[in-house]
Amino acid sequence: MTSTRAEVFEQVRAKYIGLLTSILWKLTGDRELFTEAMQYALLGMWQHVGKLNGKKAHAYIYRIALSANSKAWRNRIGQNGELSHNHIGFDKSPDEKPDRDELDILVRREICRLPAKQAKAIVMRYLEQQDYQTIAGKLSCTEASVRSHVSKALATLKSRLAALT
Amino acid sequence: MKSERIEEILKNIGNNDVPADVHKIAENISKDFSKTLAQPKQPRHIVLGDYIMKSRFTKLAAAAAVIIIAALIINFQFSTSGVAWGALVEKIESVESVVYRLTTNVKMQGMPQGQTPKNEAIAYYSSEYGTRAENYINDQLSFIMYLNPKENIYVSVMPEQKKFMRFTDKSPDELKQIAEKDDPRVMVRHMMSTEYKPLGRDKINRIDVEGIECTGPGVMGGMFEDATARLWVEIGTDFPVRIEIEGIVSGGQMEMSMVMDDFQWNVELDPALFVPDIPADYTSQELSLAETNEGTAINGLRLFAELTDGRYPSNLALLTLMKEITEALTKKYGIKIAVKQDEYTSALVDILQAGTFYVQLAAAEKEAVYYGDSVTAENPEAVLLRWKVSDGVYRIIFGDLTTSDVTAEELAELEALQPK
Repeated sequence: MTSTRAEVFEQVRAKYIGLLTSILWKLTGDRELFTEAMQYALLGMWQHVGKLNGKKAHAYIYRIALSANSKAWRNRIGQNGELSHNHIGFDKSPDEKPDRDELDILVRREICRLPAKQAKAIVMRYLEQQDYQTIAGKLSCTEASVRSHVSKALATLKSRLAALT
Repeated sequence: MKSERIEEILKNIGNNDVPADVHKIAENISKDFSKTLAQPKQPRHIVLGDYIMKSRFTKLAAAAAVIIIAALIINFQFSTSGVAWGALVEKIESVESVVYRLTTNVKMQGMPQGQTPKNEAIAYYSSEYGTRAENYINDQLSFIMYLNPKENIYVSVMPEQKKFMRFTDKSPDELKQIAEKDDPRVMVRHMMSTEYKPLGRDKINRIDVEGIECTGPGVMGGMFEDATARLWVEIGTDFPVRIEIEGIVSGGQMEMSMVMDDFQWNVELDPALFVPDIPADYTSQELSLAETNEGTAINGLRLFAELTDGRYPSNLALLTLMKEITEALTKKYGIKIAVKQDEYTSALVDILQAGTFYVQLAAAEKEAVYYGDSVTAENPEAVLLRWKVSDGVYRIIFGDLTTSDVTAEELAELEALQPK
């Protein structure tokens, strides 16, 4: 039984390692965070390997990747979920604007706090630039649902970033 | 903030291609994870939990381990010139055999204490039979090194990997020189021949001792960027009881301390100890140690630059070089470097030629200056390494690894234009 599961895991790992790498790199943008997130993702794949051979495999991979990313970010910034301003050089005066790299970090950080469906939708639509039809197919939902998740995610990100910047 | 701006940021993040080294990291983590799953006899949840807990430090711990192993393989390069300290040197020179323990500790920036492996060696030196050094990592036998110039033997046996490594291309005379350089008696002689300050009297394990201390980058013959060595000698017998060496690398990013103690001087040793014990099922790895010269140094610099996209070692101090080689290979192989010992050793031996060459130039007082901290392959006209070959003539290895002889005036002009 164990060897069968390990064999399935090997197949799944080989099939999705490229996708996981791409998603996690875009979500972390940092080698240390990436390394940690990748380890959590592999652990997630192992735990849910039975679900990764069916029709919804893609949706599960995104879920595993986002969950792993959140854990890695939580380890970095602490359990209270508050972003350390010092960590990204944010100890600036109120009228100083963050630069592009700092905004990228903030956005990545806020994506990991979105509800799962919104996070998946925003990652697929913007970070991976997939069209709505493709996303709907992969998430097994309608295009309208995807648009709704993306729209809500953008609004959430906008308000959170406005508060932070 | 406008939502258009957020969309732009998101698209910008999405346009980040995955760098090649990140792909490599992912591949290595993933393969190592699979290997972890395949480990028998341990409850799986513990294996996985352990993996997550320890993995942050695996890379550094592996790096430290190989640095220590490498440090033990490398022969200390000592100059024997200078003023000798009479009686003690004479006494040590007459010693026929010695056994001692060497404990090595490495502290690396960013690595919590306790993460570096415990490293210990028991070394046996005999004027008659040569050298045997048993090296233990975390109390487990890692390798045994045998060096016997008379029998032309220079072998490392690695029981865990069931391998042995035979160093070839060395004549008995050359092996004798290597053995002498690796000998604690030579270390004592070297310390005595450099400037030292007295430490006065003390007690070590209830033995009355008197000590001296030497400091400076030259203390370990170029192994460290800066080092302090202390020698404690038993009052009455005049035999050393403890040698302490503390060195730094990369401006203090890595600190290494070595303690040699438990000395047994002139002890009778079984000749069988010095005969390599290689079981029939061990596989051989031949290793050629080429003579160090300008060509091998250039080859070493080229190999390093290939590993690092055109960067050269920041410093040619041997341990700095080892640290930077390890970092470059760790970056290349991720956390799998510990199982890439063959490739690591091969790269290490070749690249270290650059460091050994520099040490030789420094020992010969040839005004060697190295600019690897500011010159890369992108600076083909800049001086990477230069040394004096005769009165008013200097040899230069440039940033593109070509060479030329120049006058002192020409050198001054070139060095005035060096990148900062």
